[in-house]
Amino acid sequence: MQVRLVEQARDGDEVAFSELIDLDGDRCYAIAYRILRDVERAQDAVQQAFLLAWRELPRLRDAERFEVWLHRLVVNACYEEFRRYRRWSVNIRALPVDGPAGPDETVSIDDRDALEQAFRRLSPEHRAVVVLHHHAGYPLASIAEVAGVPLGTVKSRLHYATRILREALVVDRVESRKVRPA
Amino acid sequence: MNTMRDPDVTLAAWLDEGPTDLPDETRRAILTALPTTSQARRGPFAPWRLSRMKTTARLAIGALVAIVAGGGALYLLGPSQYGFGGLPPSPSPIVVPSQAPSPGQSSPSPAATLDPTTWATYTSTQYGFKIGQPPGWTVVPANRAWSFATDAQDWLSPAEDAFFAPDRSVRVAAWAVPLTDPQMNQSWPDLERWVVDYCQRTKNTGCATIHDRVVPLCVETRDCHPALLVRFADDVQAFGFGGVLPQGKMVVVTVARGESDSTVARYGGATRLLEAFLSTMNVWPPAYPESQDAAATFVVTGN
Repeated sequence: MQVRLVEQARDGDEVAFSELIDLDGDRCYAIAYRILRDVERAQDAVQQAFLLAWRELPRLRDAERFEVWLHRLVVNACYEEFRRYRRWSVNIRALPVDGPAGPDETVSIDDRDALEQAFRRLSPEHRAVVVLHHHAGYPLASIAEVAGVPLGTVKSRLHYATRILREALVVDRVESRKVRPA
Repeated sequence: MNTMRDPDVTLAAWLDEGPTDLPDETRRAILTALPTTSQARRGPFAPWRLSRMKTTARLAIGALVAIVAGGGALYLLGPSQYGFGGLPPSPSPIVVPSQAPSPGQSSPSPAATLDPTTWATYTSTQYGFKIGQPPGWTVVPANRAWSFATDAQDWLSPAEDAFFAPDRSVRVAAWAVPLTDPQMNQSWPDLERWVVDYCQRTKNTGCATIHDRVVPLCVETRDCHPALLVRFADDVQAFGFGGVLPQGKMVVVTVARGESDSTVARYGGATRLLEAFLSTMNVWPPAYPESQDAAATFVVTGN
């Protein structure tokens, strides 16, 4: 079904494209939000990505690869949003926004805070790999396609980012025990 | 008490938190903009086709790393498109000729002069990359690593692999510049910022207007690592890195003549000459698995 919609949209069918937004818009937004950690920036990134997808769709040869292609546009839009945002808001820390998927009870407040801080120290490229792997569930080879980098780069980025995040959790737990002994 | 849980489970659970539904306002904004957003023409050079070739075949092609033109049309549309630097890479490994010689030019046919398929391959012992050496040209290998401290303002630096035309009238050079940020984002805008900074540090001219003169290129056909070609007043330079170069270095290739200099007219101009050299390059070091015949040993394991 998606292939047919892509082909129709490729020929300028706006209705078909709106159905593609319905099909994949949520996933794109979820990815963008998790990379940027900001609702408005994620909305901007997704909007830019979809409009670019609409414009460039006639050049997409393989309609079956639409989703990966679209996600690549989303990730690249996130990179740009991240850098634009960083220029004037380096000292502003947005509060986590809870949506339909609210706080997971398996994540303690301390863990959440530690992850939030550690994640914000990561580059957008590292964030994207973490989100695509741990949240979107992409295999590494697919992440390489989405991120537009070699597989080895994906592996090294994931390794680095995961280590930073794990260390943040470990440090947080050690500190928690010091402050609040059981 | 803080129970020790699997960090990956905690991380995944934390990532699952937060909004998951695209807000209606965003959906409406996209749909509202569609009628005023024209679609690109579908041409014979449709640039986006994700490869589904077997890994071995893909790696074999990847080993033929080339700096290719194209894939950056949107980049040229202006700053608002910068973020999409990873977009539509051209699948073509062909360097697109920039311009033909001007009418009336009494020079040999550039096509006859510049046939890179006949060139010998030179491997840089200093930097590891491979680059073509035209027949009759001589090469002076770099005798040390290039650095800002010693070479930034030396346009005839011995730290460059230099190629000289048979009559010594043209010098083409290639070298690698250490990156202060090896994790530099692989996007054209970031690369352009780096080039501007490099331009200033090397005391070149026209640094403030580079954006108006850049030509986006790709390094490596599969992933399209961004690269740039820039025409300066007195030379034409190309910048790029393959994402896997060791120690995070930027490859620079330059024709040390202005575009319309009479000495490069026989090649169709400095840009055309530079593009011919770029088309022969493999910026991956020999030790990188994909640059060897035994590329199949670089296993794509997926997850």
